[in-house]
Amino acid sequence: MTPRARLAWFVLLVAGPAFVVFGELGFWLNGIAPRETFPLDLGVSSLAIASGLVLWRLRPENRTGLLLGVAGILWTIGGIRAYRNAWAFGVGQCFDGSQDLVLAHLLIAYPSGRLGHRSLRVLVTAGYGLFVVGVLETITMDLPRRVNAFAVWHAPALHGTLSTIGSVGAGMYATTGIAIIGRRWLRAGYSRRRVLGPVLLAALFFALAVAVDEVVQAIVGSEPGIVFFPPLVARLLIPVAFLFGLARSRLDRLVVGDLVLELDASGAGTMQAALARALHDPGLQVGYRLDDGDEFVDSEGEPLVLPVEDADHAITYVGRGDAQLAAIVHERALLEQPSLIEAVSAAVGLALDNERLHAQLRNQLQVLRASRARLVRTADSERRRLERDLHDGAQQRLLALGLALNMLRARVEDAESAQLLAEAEEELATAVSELRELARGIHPAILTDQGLAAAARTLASRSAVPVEVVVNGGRFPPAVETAGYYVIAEALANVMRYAHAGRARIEIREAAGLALIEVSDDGVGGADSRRGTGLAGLADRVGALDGRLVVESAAGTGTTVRAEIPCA
Amino acid sequence: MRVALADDSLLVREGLKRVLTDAGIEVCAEASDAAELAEAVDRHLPDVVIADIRMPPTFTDEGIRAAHTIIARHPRVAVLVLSQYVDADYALALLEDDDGARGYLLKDRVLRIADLTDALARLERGETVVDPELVDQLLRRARVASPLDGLTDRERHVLSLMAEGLTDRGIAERLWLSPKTVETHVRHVLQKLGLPEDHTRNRRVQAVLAYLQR
Repeated sequence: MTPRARLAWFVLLVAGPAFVVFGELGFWLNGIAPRETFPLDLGVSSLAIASGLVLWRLRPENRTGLLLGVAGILWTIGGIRAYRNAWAFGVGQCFDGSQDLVLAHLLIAYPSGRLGHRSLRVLVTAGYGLFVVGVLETITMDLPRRVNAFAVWHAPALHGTLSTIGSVGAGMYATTGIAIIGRRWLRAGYSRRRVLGPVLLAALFFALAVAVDEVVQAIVGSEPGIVFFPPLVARLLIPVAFLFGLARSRLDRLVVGDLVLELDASGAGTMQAALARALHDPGLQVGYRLDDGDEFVDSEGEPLVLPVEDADHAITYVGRGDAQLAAIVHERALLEQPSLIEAVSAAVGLALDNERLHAQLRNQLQVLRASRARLVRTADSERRRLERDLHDGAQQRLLALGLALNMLRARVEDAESAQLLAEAEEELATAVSELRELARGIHPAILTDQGLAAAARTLASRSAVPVEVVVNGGRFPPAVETAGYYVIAEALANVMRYAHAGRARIEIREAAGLALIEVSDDGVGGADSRRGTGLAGLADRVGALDGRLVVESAAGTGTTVRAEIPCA
Repeated sequence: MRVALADDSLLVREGLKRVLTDAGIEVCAEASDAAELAEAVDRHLPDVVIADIRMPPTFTDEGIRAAHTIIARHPRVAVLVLSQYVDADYALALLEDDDGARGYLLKDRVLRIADLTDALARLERGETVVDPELVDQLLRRARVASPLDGLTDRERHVLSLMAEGLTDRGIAERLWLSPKTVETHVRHVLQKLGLPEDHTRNRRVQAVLAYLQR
C-alpha cells in the first residue's frame, strides 16, 4: 500500500464518523432536537466507509470500494447544515442526497466497478446531472443569504420547476436502476447469484424504495425520507450486503479445507463434483491436460474442448510451478473471488495431479480401444474386398475358361482329346466350387446382403449337429453383425469339435441397446476361453466393439457362448 | 428360344453366348448391368433372361432385384438368376412373388451345359427352377426328430424335386413314374410335413424351401 493510500485510509476512517457526530453535535449545540435519522445516518455512513475501505483494500483495482467510501463521506455532509452558518448550510444543501447518486453509480457498475456499456455511462452521467439540479435548487432557494450563502438568485418559480425536475429525475433513475439490476439478477447463473445476490437484492430494494419515496413525496409534498422510512433502511442494507458477501467468501474458503479431506477420502473421478460443490458452481467442468500437447480430457479420458471464455464462463488454469495440469471451466462470477479460486487450486494440487494421471490413463485406454476397433474394421473390410475379388475376378475367369473348354471339346474329333478336355472341365468345376467355399469362409456375402439372421441360418444348415435358430429383431450395424457372425461360426465349430452335443441353439435378439448373440449346446461343457485362440480371438473382436463375450461351460451342463455388443 | 444375357464380366458373357449359340439357343441381347438389361428386355422381349446375381453398382443382389422388376413389367418373360451363393435366403428372396417363372442356379452350373439348357427349357414352360445343390444341402441338414424322418426314400426324393421346382409331370418324367403316382407322393409329402396342398408353381417351391430351411 502506498503512503498516499494509507493517508486516504486514515482520513476516511476517522473523518467519516467524526463528521456525522460533528454534524449532529451542531443540532445539539444549537438547541435543536436531534434528527430522527441520526442513528441510521451514523450507522450507514460508518458502515459504508468501513466496508468501502475493506473492499478497496482487498481489490484496489476495483472502484466499488472507493465509491462506497465516498458515498459514506457524502452522507455526512448534509449534517453540517445545522451549524447556523450560511456557507455550511449552502454546502450541506448542495450535497444533500448526493450519496444516493454515488450509490447508484456503484450499484450499476457492480461487480466490476466499471460501467462497461456506453448506455450505462450515459445513464450514470445523467444521474450526476441531478447533483447539478440540486446545486441550482440551492442557488434559487427562497431563503435569505444569511441563512443560505448560495442563495444568490431569487427565483421561486424556477426553484419549483427545478425541484420537480429533481424529483422526477430521481424517480426515473431509480426505475431504470430497478430494470438494470433486475435483469442482471435474472441473467445471473447459480454461483453468480450466490456471490452477487446480497448486494443485488439490497440494490433492488434501495432503488424500489427511492422510486416509491419519490411518488410519496409527489403526493404528500414533504421532504425526502421524512414521511417514508424505507429508503433509509435500504441505504443501510447496501454496506451490510457488501460486508455479508465478504464474510461469506471467507467462509467459502474455509470449505476448501473440507474439500481436501473429501478428495482424500473419495476415489478418482470425483474431483469435478467436489470442486463444483466447493465453488458453488454446479456447471463447473475440469479438463486435464495430457502430457503430450495442449489437449485436455475429462476425468473419463474423453477429449474435452475448452469453451471460449465469454460473459458467463471463464477458465482458470491450475498447475504446479510452470506446468499447467488442469483447466477449470467455471462461471465468470467466481473471478470476483480470486482468493477462493487460489485457495482451491492450492488445496487440490496433489489430488489434481493424481486425477490427471488417471484421466490420462483412461484417455490412452480409449485411444487404444479405438485403434483396436479400427484394426478390426480394416481387417473386415479387407476380407470383404478379398471375397469380392475372388468372386468377381478369379471365379469369373475360371468360368470363362470352363466355357471355352466346353466349346473346344465340342469341336475336337479325337476321342482321347475330348476325354482329356472333359476331365479338365471336371477339375475346373471342382476348383470353382472350392473357390466359392473359400470366398464364403473369408467373408460370407449373405451376411452383408441379407443380415446376420440369414447368415446364421446358413451356418446352421451346414452344421453336422442339429441347430435351432431363434431370431428376435431386425438388423444390427454391419460391424456388430460381422462380429456376431464370427462368434456363431466359431462357437458352432467348437460344438462340432469338442462338445459331443446332440443339438445346439442359436439365439439372436436385442435387449436394452445390446445385441445378444448366443450359441448354446447340450454337450459335455468344460470349454475354456483361454484354451486355443478361437474364443480368445472372439473376445478380442467383441471387445473391440465395447462388447463382452461370456462363456458358461461347467462340465456336464453344456456350453453357452454369448456375445453382448452395444448396438444403439 | 431367345435369351437375353446380363453379366458384368465380358469374358463370361461371351463364353456363355457361344456355348448357348452352339446349343441352338439364340442370344438376342446382352447387358452388363441391371439398367441395360431392363432396356434390352423392353426392346427384344426375350423368352428367358439370364442374369448374374452380382452386378454393378453394389455387386450384391442386383440380379434378384432386376428379376422382380422385369417380371413386374413383362409377366411372360422368365428370369434365371445365376448365383455364387448356396444360401436358401437368396432363392426365397427371388421366389417372393407368385407370378412369373423364376430360376435360381449356381453359377458353376454353366459349366454343365445340359443342366443349363434343361433349366432354360423348364423356365420357358413357366416352371420354377432351384439349384439341386442348394436343395441337397437343405435336405442334408442335421435335424432333431423332424417330420422328414417319417418320409420314405421315394417321398424324400419327390420332396427334393419339388424343392428344385419341378412340376408333378416333371417329377414323373425324372423318376419314371406315372403322374398319378407322383400326385399321390406329393400329397403324402405335403400332409406329412403339414404344408397346405393348394400350392402352385413358385408358392409350392417357396413353402418347401422355407420348410427345409427351418
